[in-house]
Amino acid sequence: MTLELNFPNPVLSGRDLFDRDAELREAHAVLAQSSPRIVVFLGERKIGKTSTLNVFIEREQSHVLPLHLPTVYSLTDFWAEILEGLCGAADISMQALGLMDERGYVFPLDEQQVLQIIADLLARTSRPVVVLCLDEFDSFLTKCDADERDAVLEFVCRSVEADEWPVRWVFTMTRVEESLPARFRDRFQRLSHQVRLAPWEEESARAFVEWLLGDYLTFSDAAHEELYVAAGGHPYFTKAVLHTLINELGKGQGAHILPEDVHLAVEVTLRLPNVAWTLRNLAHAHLSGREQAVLTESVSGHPVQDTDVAERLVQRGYLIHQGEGHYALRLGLLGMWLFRHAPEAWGG
Amino acid sequence: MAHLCFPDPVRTAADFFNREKELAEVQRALRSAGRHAIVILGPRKIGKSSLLNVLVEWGEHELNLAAVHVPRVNSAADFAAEVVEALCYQAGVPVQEVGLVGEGGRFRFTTVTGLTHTLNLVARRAPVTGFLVCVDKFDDMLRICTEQEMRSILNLMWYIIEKSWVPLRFIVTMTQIPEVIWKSYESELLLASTVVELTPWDARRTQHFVEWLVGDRWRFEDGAHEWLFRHTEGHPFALKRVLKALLTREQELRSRETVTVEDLKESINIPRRTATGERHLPRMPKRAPTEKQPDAVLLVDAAQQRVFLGDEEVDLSPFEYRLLVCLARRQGKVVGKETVAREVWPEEAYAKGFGDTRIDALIARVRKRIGDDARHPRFIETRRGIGYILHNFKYVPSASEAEDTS
Repeated sequence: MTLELNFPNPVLSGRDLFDRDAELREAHAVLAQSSPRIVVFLGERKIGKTSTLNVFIEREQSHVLPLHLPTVYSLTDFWAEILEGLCGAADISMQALGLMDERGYVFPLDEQQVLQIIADLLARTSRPVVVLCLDEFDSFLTKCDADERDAVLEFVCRSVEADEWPVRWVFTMTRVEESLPARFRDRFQRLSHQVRLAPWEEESARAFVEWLLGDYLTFSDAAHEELYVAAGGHPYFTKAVLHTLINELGKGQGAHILPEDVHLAVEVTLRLPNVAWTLRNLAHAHLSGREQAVLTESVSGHPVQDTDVAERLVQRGYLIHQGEGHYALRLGLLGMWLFRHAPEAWGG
Repeated sequence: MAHLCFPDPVRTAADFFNREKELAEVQRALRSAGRHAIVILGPRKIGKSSLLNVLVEWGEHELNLAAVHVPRVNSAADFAAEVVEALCYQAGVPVQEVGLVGEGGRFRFTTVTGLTHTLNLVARRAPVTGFLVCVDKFDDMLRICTEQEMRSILNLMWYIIEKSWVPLRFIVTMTQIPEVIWKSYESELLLASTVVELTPWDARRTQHFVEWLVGDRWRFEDGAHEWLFRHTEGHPFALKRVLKALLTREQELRSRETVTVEDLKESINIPRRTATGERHLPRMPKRAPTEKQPDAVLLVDAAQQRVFLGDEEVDLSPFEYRLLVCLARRQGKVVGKETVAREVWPEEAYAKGFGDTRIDALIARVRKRIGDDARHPRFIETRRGIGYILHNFKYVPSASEAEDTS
């Protein structure tokens, strides 16, 4: 029998989530206050934002009404999703409320009407607050038509600026500043609280591995170090290498893992389709050419010229500062992927 | 003889050969509590639809799941309509009873939230534990969609998986991931999926496959299996195409009971169409060229019997593969020609002179395949008069070797 690592799924329940207690406490504390009314789980790709959001909602659902919204690309669709979700929770149909005709077309509404209907529907559910959750809010902001995007942002802000509406928002985002149009940045920042999810430091990463594996596999100290070099304390990539050890390399119950086992597992992990896709997506969609160049420079041993970009990459968990202008790559798997797919950039 | 199922996909496990690992991986994923999608990935005609069919059969029997096959559509609205209508059919519920019906009697949805509510409603009334929503050639479907519709379909699927409790799992087959997905957030659906990749068989499995299909009908003369592997590259469709052609000459072959290399040559050259233009045999699948990757690491994976240069799999003949395994297993050691000959051609006695030339030619071929240069070797170094040593590689031992070591 092999160990079930829950890879590559996001975690659905608190019992499967490791060490995000501080971040969850922070988010719960925000929700308990009257302001700010927007919580943003902020972090890089595959750091565990969706998992943390899932557990956050699991723990809050006894006293608020959580509503997961799908990604849609217009304000009216956005409203329709919210109202339909609330109708479902209140066990009443949109048609019965006179919000939709018999062919499924939603009657035109304005913002005040929508907020009032939200409050009325919520009253039927005996919950005091509706928490509207949207995963990957950046996706919506970057893909949406500019007018619709601004209209949605305006609605989000207004719904929490006035105390009268029982509405809270929880978003997951990879970046806030770059995703928001300039005219909304200050306002959104003022109305929101960002809970940052960072990769784990070496000690926590080691504890994560031990927590996941129990006594199924044991790691030598050097094997732990090797794993940390490759996965940089990112939960997804750490799990990916463990998955490879167990499912691809057949390491069974009681096996003792040495650094060479991890080294081999890392090589094989790079070839797992969804890991390769994730790295490719990360490089293409989340790192600019300049950022990739700085990652390249940092492993060459020379001082990095563009330290602003390097510091941003430190903040984002891709680099580790090692003294005056010198940086080391935190996520070895990404370095290996970049090295193999853009060899010219690495002097290859 | 097992049912050839050519050119159609295999429909039942009894006709399905040697995809146990992939099958087990998907079965494990379907049994797990996770709800992520399952992607069956591989080149054209490698057997993706066959694996899908066998999984559906297994899911119906073992997990009491009902299969829903979504045809090729080009909008999220049609995609949703197909899924809801199929679920309604399985549950014996008229569509108009659970949702809105638009023009032409089709289900229409206004909101994704409402759609998942409807799906849950229908699923609860069906006499099954859940649904397998199958989309064969999912990449082809995405390609005919506008970018907006593609996003909507992916978002819709992701929402159903992640945020609703509808008891359904998506299984899709794909040959390639459309480029636009790489740069988009909608890739999440695929990044968080269980992916099983189908690749052609190695020489040993190719021979087993042929023997399994042919049974005791014919015997292949010495060298015929090797020849067949070399020319079909272990691709099940190509192998079946040759066997199908052999079957057209069954009576003649039956009389002598032996299939020769000449018979195979003749079978492989049968024109695809007859003189009147009628389709005779389907086209052989095309092979994608391997990209050269300077400084890439060579991975000799004996567990999977595959060799990679960087991220690209290297196509090798059985002898070429055996040579690399022979060198890789003796990490850091110079391997003599006699050892190479014994491991590459175990059935033949090694005769110095003849064997040397043969080994040299094999080494040259392998170097070419892995982009190595004899004058400035990165991988295979010749130690004149002694043998060969392999550098810059990783070796994954086969299961039996790993067992021996442990």
